[in-house]
Amino acid sequence: MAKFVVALIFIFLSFFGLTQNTTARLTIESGSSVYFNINSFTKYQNGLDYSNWTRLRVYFIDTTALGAVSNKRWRITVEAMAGNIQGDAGNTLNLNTIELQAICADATGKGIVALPIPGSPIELLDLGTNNVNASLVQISYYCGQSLTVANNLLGQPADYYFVDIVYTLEGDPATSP
Amino acid sequence: MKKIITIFVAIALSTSMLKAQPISDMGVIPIGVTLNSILRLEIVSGGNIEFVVSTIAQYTAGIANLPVYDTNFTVSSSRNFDVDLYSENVDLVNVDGGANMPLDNIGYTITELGTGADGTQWDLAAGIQILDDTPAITIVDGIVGAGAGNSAQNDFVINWELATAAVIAANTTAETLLVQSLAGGRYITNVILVLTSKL
Repeated sequence: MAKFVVALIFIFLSFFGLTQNTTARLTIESGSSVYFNINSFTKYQNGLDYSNWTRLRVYFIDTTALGAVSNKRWRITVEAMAGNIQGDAGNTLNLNTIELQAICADATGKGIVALPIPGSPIELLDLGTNNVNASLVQISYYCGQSLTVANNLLGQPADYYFVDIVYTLEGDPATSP
Repeated sequence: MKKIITIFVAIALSTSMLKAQPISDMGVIPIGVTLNSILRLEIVSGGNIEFVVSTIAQYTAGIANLPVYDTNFTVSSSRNFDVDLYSENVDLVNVDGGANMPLDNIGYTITELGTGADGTQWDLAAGIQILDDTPAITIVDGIVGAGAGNSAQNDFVINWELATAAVIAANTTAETLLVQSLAGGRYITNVILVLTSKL
């Protein structure tokens, strides 16, 4: 009986080795803050853009049993952390005043997107290659340039507006291990 | 049998630990936008208007508008706006210290010169206006959501005239310069244009 119990324990412990291993790490290498200063009429009319301003580094690996790399891919989404761009004097700007685009050699870009509301993240990149170490993601920002939606700044009250945005690196749900 | 059941229970318990947990990471970026107010009025030409009355015909009929009696000004504004116009003085002041000339001998009309349109970007004061010292006379009334724009859009001309039939018909004095029997001399006032932003 004792031998039988010991055998059961070994079987029990051996199943721990069959779970999936995923490691995802997102690092902001540069461009950890973005600031648009609209101080001329030209900027009001044409908006402002910062190309490849934020640089992220992606580490992502997903393995199945015994360390083999799976077919899982990764993606990066973005969403705002507030429902609008809040001004110090109480004015607000619509979130879609800010548009973004991400590019990465190891993933598929989704083009220019307008900043979404909290709880409704939008993909910037998907189908990211599994097993990447320090893959470079570059993000460009566009303010008041009406690239996807009409968001001209003319007519908006002067103020200092701010919003935090969050990038999320995660397994791409459209792919399976 | 007991052993077989025990084995199956052990397997069942161990498989419950095979569910993988999703792994993700996040980064937060603050974004700031400063909108500096742009509110600019520029008098392009006609910053000094001089009427010289030197004939009886001019005393009788006044001096009608000509390009030399035009004031061209532009507005660049990041927000909708109004332009008010008024005289600094109650009358046209006699520089020689004698009796003043009634201010309402001066009349004007306002028209657009740029890409903006009356009734679309703003409402311009219609018809002949009489110069007044009241600060609340609006000659350009910006339309919500349309007035903001550059100098190419907001380009205006004030067409001045002196004691013409149209001015006399609209003013209080209601007399020609001849009938007013004003002493010869120079009569002046400053006209003030006020640009204000609004919603």
